Amino acid sequence: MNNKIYKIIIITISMLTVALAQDPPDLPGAPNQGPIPGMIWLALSGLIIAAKKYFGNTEK
Amino acid sequence: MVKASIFYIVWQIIYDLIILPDGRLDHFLSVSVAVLAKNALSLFGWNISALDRLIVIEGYRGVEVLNGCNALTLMALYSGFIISFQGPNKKRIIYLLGGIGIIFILNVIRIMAFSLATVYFQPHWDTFHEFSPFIFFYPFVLWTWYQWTLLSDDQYRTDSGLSFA
Repeated sequence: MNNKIYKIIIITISMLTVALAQDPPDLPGAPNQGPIPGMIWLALSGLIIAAKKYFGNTEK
Repeated sequence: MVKASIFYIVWQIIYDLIILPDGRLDHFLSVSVAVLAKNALSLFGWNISALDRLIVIEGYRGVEVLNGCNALTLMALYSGFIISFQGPNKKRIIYLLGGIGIIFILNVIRIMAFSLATVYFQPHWDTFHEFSPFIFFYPFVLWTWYQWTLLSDDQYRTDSGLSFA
C-alpha cells in the first residue's frame, strides 16, 4: 500500500515538473486600432470624382 | 486639391496632438455606437449586454468598438471633400452635418451587423469585417460626394451666367 502511495507521489511530482516546464501561452496583444479597411480606395474614388468634375468644368 | 491636402494635414495634426491623447471624442463615439447598437438589438428581442465599448449577445463572442472602428476618420475624410470642393455654403453645412450624422447611424447598423455575424456566420466574421465599409459606408459617401459635385456644378453654371451677364 505504502509502495503504491510513493509511486503516485513520484508520478505526480514528475508530471507536475513537465507541466510547469511548459511556456505559458502568449498574452493577447493590443487589438488593431487601424482605420476602417479600404479607406484608401474611397479617397482615390473621391479624387477621381473631383478631378472629373474639375476638368469637366474647365473644358466648358 | 491644395485645399483638401491642407485640410487633411491640419486634421491629422489636430487628431494626433489633441484628439487622440485626450481620447474623449474617440471614447464617446465608440461607447455611444456600442450602446445604441445594443439598444437596437434589444428592441428586436436579442438577449444582449454592453460593457463600455463591448457588446455581447448571450452565448456568443463579443464585439468591441475600437477607436479605428468608430468612423471618426471616415467622418474627417468625408468632411474634407465637402469642405474642399466648391459649392453653396448653406448647403455645405447641411451636407456636413447630415453626412456625419448618417455615417454615425450607418456605423451603429454596421456594429449591429457585426454582432449578428457572431451568431450566424462567425467563421466568416473577419472577411465580413474587412468588406463591411464597402457595404455600409462607401456607397453612401461616394453618392453624397457625387451629389455635392452636381450642386457645385449648378453653382458654377450660375456663377458663369452672372459673369457673362
